[in-house]
Amino acid sequence: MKKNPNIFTGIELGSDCIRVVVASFRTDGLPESRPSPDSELIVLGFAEVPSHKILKDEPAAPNIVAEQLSTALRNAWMMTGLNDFSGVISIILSGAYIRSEVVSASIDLDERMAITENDSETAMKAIYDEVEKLLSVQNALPLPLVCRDFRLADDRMLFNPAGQFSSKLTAESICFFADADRYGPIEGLVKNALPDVKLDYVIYAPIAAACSVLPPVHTDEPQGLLIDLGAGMTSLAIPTRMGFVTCEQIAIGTEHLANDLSIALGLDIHQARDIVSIIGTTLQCTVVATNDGSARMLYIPDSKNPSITHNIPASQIEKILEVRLTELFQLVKSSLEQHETYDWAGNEIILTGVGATLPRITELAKKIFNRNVRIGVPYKISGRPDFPLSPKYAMVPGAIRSSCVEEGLHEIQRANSNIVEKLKNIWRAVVDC
Amino acid sequence: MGNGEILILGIGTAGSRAAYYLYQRGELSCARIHAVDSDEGQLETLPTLHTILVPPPPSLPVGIAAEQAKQAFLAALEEPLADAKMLVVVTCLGGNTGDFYTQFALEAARSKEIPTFTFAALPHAFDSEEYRNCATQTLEILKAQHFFVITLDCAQFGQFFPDSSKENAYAQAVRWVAETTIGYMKLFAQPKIDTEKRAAMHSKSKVMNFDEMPRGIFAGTYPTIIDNQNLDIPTYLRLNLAINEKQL
Repeated sequence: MKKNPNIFTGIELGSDCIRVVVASFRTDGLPESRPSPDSELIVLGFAEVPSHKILKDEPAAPNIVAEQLSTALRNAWMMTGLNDFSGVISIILSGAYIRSEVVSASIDLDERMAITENDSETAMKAIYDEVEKLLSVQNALPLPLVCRDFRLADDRMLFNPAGQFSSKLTAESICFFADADRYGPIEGLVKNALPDVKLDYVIYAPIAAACSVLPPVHTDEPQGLLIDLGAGMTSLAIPTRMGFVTCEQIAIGTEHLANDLSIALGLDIHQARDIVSIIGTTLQCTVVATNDGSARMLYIPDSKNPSITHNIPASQIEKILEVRLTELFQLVKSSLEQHETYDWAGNEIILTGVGATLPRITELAKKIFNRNVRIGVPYKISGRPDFPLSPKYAMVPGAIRSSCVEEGLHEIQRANSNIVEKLKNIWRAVVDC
Repeated sequence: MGNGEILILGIGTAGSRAAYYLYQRGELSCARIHAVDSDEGQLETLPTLHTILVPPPPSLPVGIAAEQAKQAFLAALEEPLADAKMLVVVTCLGGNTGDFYTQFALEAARSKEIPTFTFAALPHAFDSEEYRNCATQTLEILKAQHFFVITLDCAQFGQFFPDSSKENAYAQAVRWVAETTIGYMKLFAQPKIDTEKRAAMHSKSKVMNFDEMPRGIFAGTYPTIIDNQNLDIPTYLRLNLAINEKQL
């Protein structure tokens, strides 16, 4: 069956929830088969179910996760009211089993001639040879790579080298390798949940988060630092017009907050998770500790024996969360400094993910980064009025936009290969004659 | 030096900021860092750091008020100083709190035969005459008592940054003091590992053993190890931070 080119399904296997969004792009005046990835995204259906057995974005019990994923897909597709779901399906990959590595390749040029877009493309293609060499010595699966920057013979770093003069052009790309053994269970559970459907694209989480919140720009400058505080993993991205300066993950998320509370206060993990989720609303606490001792007491009933109540000072909870989040932001900063990309972070930091909903999180981030910090939400979303425009839902619309870009590239490749095939056929016909 | 055997006191507002910077840099992980200030509001801006709130220094350095302030400070210092084998004071001289309490901290350590280091920033060229006089006077008192003081002259330092604003100059001075302290103290603040543990570490190809600390729901998953630290273990446990209500 021919798939509908403008029905996209995005899947996120998060540590807290599995989220599925079915959407299409507004194609005012454009052919339905060629949606533009930065146009308005019309949400047709969505679903969110607890993931139960995912830790650090890796399934601990694939069978249970597969069941939950089936439920989420069924609910989202039912909400659309469509009979045919043969659209483009993409899944977000996230986890410590994905390793990023900067790979570079150089080409020699005539320095009397200005560098063209074709030269950049040739240098980029040379990277694929390097990636193949790397793959021949390790058991890993490559994910789509992203362009990082270009360097000239005098070591100048540029995001777009077109128009410059140099005897050598070096392209640097960030390549992602998934550990084959750890990716296996994810592939298996997706096959179980989607037995008759082919998965079209896998999108790396930081790319999805960036595509969702930051619309494309026409300048060569980086678009600032985006930090997605997910439940299992924290994603970092500094996108540019051509690609990404930074695109990586740290295996710490809001689940670590719950785990810290659970250990420190002797609470059940479910109770600790509840505390994190209602910290700003019901509990009126923040992630910036107020050292007021036991002036604000919280009375939390024991999960096993409701007649017992845990009397916990609010300041204690706040301090546990604050030290963990401070450490996380410091790790983010030192990681960027280590890769010499912190200078590209710009003046503004954007927070997304479930962690971005924590009260006073921007204040804490501002202290560490000494920059303006704001909460990011997906851009140009319409359709269902009940779809939450929240930083929690930032990832999936980005995966859909990213898969739309990939789909466009594949379409061009297919068209080119068709032209080559046609020319070959004409040549054969001429030879046969 | 072993874990927690070096006590670092950041005294005064600028000293406290320097202490917080030291804490954030995390280079002296074996040291216990405390901020001492008479300004409660300032101390509240130093999240997660141990803080000691002291009475505002009296206008005269002698007399009943001065004695009461000194005793209050010494009482607060009793516990942190108990296990210390070295005291490091980080301060900016010229300010009231830094000038008044630095001497008492050093004397308290000396009475317990604990060696001391002092890293003191001297005022900027644009600071008032009175401020600079106070700094000079305090420095002379400390040197007269043969305390080891490493001074950083901000007036000289500032010449290299002619375009820097006054606010930036203070922040730069704080960072300068903190970085100098790290440079001097890094050698002493290396984690102490006993021979058996070291041998065990080498035999396990440098894989640290974190089994004694709980990982909660992450037990059984691939650990998140960065800079030889297992980040699945709660931060407050790894950093040995106080979280119970008495210590807050």
